[in-house]
Amino acid sequence: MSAFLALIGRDLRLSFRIGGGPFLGLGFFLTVAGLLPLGIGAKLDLLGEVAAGFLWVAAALAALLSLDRLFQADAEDGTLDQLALGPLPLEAAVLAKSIAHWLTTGLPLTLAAPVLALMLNMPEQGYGALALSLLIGSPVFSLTGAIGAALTAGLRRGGLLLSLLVLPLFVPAVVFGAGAVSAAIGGFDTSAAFLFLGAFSMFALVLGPVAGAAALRIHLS
Amino acid sequence: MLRYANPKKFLDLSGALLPWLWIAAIGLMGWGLYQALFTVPPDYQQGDSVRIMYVHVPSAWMASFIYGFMFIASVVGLVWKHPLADTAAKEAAPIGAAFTAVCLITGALWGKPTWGTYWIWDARLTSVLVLFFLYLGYMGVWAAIEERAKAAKAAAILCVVGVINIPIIRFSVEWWDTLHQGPSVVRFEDGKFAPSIDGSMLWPLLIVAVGCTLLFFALLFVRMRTDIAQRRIRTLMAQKAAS
Amino acid sequence: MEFGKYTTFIWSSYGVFAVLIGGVIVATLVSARRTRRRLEALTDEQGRPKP
Repeated sequence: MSAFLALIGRDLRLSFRIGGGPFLGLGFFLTVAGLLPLGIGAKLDLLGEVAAGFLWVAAALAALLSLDRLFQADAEDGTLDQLALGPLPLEAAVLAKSIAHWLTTGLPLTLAAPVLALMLNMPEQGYGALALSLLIGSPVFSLTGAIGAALTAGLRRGGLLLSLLVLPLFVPAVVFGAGAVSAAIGGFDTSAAFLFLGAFSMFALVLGPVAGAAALRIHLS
Repeated sequence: MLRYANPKKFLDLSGALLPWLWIAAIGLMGWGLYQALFTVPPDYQQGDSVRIMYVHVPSAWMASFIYGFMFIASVVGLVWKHPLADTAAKEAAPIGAAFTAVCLITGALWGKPTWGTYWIWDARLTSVLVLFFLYLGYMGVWAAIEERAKAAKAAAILCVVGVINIPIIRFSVEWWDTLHQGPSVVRFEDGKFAPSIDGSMLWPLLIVAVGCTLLFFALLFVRMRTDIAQRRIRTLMAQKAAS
Repeated sequence: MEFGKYTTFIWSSYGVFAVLIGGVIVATLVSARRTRRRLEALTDEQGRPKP
């Protein structure tokens, strides 16, 4: 367990040192939240309608930004081999790195979401659903993203391929997550949406580390 | 590796089958499509646009069938490590991608005159689009990783993960659609106009579909034989360089 | 052959099919022929490597 936490801590420290940690993600969100009104014209009604979906897409993009670096440095400097030989099962190591990744991308967004929703004139009935759906669903981007990152670890220009690979995995989270907020705003029952979102998150929690570790082993052998 | 160097049984079998596969494939497809264009009567509801169905629906079937084939081949490659399994999956992908692209484009061309729109983000179309991206990603993985064994494993993992995901995507968008439009939604059920299709219109469809399937196997065999030959060439070149 | 208002759409569809599927066929056969030629250049009648 301590090895698990140590790995998370190490990744967090590295992300601070290299990329400003969660502040990079936050900066990204503020930028895009500021650009959207400028891009579509500051029509408040329109903004409010697209805000939920837009924030969900922003969460996906923010995760993608740093995903290709997830295993890159480790593949290059030999840490990957250490991880494979170390006390943690490789699946647990992948999970730890995914958690660290989420802490710097998904979590900041979840916390900042109400403020961003305000900026984008989202109807207030959606705020709670937005925060909750991001909390439950944004880990999906880090968990399933790790699969893509593992498959493309060590490749030059792997980033473009990575986006293509994880797109199918991101879709259900975005659909259910934005759908939950949409349902809340419309006054419908949100329980189905949250159930599906939660189920998919659980699924990602298992699939991500398992498939990610399998993909990493390819690069190790 | 040496055992792979000359997979004789496959080469013999495929070589014997290929001429027949080509003849049957081209023959059936030609006959089916000829009927589709010239002898099938216009549909009661959709008029002549239903002729598009005869290229669109078989392409859709092939898109799914080929991906399923790749899934099985990938699993065989991962679990039993049969070298031809990886080759089969690798060489099937471009064929599947082509059929998927045809499906998407002809679907749009069918949708515009009949339903008024080229595209709609419903469950079916969205999941076919994602399937197309899966094909591209799969081919991208093979292209990006240089070592063949590694590329094969990575691509296989991607394929397996993708198979699990497509039904989930389909379900998620279906759920979203019912949420927003209610159950009585007009669905872009391209191809499934069962009520208005009668027997005489169905036969050419099946003929084209079988023809496309045979074409797939013909192309697959040729591509696999080419791949085997290319690997042999590489071995020979390496031996030459060493001597 | 005229199909009324559907004509362009129908012929475009069949054209797309012909171009894409025909394209895969052509690419496959060209690559196969090119590879076979290279292999023949490297091996003799019995398939043994040429010196």
